[in-house]
Amino acid sequence: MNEHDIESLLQSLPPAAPSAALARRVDSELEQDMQWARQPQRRPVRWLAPVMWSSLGAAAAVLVMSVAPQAVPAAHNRLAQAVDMPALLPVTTIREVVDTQDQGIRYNSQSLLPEQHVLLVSLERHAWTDPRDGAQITVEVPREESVVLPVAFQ
Amino acid sequence: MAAPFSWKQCFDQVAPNLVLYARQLTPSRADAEDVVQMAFVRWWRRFPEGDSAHIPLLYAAVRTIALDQRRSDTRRARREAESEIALPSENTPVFDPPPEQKEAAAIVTAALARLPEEQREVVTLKLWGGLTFQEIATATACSINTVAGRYRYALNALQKQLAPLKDDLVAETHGPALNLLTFSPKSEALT
Repeated sequence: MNEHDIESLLQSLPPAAPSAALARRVDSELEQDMQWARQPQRRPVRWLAPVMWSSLGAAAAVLVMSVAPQAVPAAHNRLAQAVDMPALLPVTTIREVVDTQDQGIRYNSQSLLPEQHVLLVSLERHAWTDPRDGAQITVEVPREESVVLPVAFQ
Repeated sequence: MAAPFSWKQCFDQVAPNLVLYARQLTPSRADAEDVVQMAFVRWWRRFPEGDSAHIPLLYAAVRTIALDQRRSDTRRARREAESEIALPSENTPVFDPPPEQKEAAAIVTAALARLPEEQREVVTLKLWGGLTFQEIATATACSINTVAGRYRYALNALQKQLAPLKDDLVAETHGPALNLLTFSPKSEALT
């Protein structure tokens, strides 16, 4: 019996088929991947971080006028592209207030009413994960917002 | 270029060989199937076109996961406790021969079991996995000379063990069974 005979003998034996449960388990895992890919896009949950000045506006309606810097629209586009990818799952959305600047009380030119101007500097961090391979994508969006609060002199 | 294959077609073709290989590295059939499940899913996620050129990576994944599983053998116990699916018996045969080859299969299984694991691994990858020595060397992180040497030692050992049974065994076999993957032709044959 030479080497060729041995190889022929061994190769003539077909390996036993795996159990049906194995195919079902693989099917289940891969189907789960497809469900991730098919799921409708989710929007990151937005929430406002606690603001130091909340005591002023708690009782009054808050009027927010956003003055976005030039870089923000581009960041928004990148964010939208990332969110549109259906296979990604949002993990976290955090808005961190980096700085606040009291810009003083100014009078509105039209209504002539006093307004408290506050500059709010914050950083939004959005994180997504790809469930297929565990890859993580993080996008940071810097923001500067000018917050105008009504003032009542008593 | 060949049309992409579904995972099921690919799985049906490679799974028996993968389980056979995994069984050389794991203590039981259930462990081997766990390993194959994880390896195949990872591999398919990465290569969803099912190109057979990447099959050696699939065997490499089986090997890596099997060796990892040795270090942490708690997963199977947990899954058995949680699952109601009946697991295959630990005595499930390695081969599934036709009736006239049952005896030969038992003898070969015993002979293979007596080989050192590294030799058994190379023989399995070469003969049933259809990998070249170069691919086996890559998958096992060994040199090609080491792989070729292990294969020769294994065949010599098997030759000694099976020689007394030569007439019976050869009479039972019907020639070599081609084990090439049909979903993508493979022409390389490095010996």
